[in-house]
Amino acid sequence: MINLESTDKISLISSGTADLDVFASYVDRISSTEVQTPGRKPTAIVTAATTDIVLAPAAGTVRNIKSIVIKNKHASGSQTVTPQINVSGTLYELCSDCILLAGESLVLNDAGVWFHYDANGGVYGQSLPTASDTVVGGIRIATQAEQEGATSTVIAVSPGRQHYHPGSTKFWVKFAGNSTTINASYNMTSITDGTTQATVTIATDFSSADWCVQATAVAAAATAAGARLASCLTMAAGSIIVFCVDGNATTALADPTSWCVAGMGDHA
Amino acid sequence: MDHFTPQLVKFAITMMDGSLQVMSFVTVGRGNRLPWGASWIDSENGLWRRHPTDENVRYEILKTFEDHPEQPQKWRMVDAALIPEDRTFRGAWEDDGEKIIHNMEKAREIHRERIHYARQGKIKELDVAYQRADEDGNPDGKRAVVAKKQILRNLPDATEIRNAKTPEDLKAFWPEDLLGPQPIGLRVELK
Repeated sequence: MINLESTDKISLISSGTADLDVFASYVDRISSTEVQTPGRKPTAIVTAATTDIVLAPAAGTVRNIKSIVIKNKHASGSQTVTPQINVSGTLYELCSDCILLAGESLVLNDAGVWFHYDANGGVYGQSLPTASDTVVGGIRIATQAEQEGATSTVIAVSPGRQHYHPGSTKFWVKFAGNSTTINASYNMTSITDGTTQATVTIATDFSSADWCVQATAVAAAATAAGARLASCLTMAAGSIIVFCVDGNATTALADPTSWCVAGMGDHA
Repeated sequence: MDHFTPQLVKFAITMMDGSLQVMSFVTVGRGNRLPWGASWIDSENGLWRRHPTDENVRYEILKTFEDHPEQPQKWRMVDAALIPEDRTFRGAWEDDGEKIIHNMEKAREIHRERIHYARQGKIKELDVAYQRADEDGNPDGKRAVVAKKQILRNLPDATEIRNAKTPEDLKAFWPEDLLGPQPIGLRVELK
């Protein structure tokens, strides 16, 4: 809140001729008796000038400012206004210069906060600085392209886009060695069991056949005969063929106990 | 989110070369984007549903085999319970339109190949034994080795194999004393 004593007043600097309506509300309190009396002062400004909009109270009285409304009611012209307080002849600016476009308002509320309203009554927002390692501020969501670029350190990752990062796994699956059961999976649509191999089909394809597959065949036992060595064949943008052999000296194609297959690369 | 297990239906796919592929077609899956033909059940948790319509299945099969060395000829949905559990003769599976069966001619050929594969090492061992017998001046030993080698050579032509009517008949013919342990059900020979 703003309190005025008998040597204080509030004036408004206006820059142009756009019509300004000013309305100030206040409560006077007589210090000796604590009697309080409300008051108000309307002011119309049509010139570039410094105009008193709240006058000094009488001696022994404190004038508590409840609100000041400064409205540019011109149809098209703008005004730059600067509220200031005159304390015993010394001027102090109460807020920054404010450019009021046609229909806009500058309002001081009871808490002493200034708001700049646009012609539709919306409040002009504060501009946040961009957050960084050392600055507290605003942060926006990374786009798919930004996530794929993987370089920014000042934008946030959302759950629906984190997988676009080149270091993120794009699909994975665990399925039985006889390809009858899919135990768990993400972003894949089928397993096809062949005579000596299995084909994993991916839901969202990679952008080309150049992606990285990680395939592990779970062994039947910790022996050469039980070991399973995974291999892959025919990588396409949307599928991969996997097969494995046992660990014997003379290897043979063999089903593993189960398969674990995953892929990383660029999504289409 | 609790552990998620995809839901599946099975398709028997007959390939141009006569072999059989069995597809586990996911009908309820999880991912960040919808697969072709799918719709969200719970988009916040990435759960989608995809009905096994002719169009969706065709799309999935053509996509799966796009760069495959073999191409599909026909397919149909099959009951998972009717898919053989024993994969000893997986390469002999065929779809007769009602169930998945073993083509016994193929199964016999697979069994003969396994015998070829298993006996290679045994014949090499017998070659060494023959050499020793020869160095020892042991004609009886040499004759015994020759006889064993001939038995091994004759094994693929055994009447038990020619007359086998089922995969169990084939599995029953495996002279372990000559060939060593029979390959387990999941094993497929190296071609």
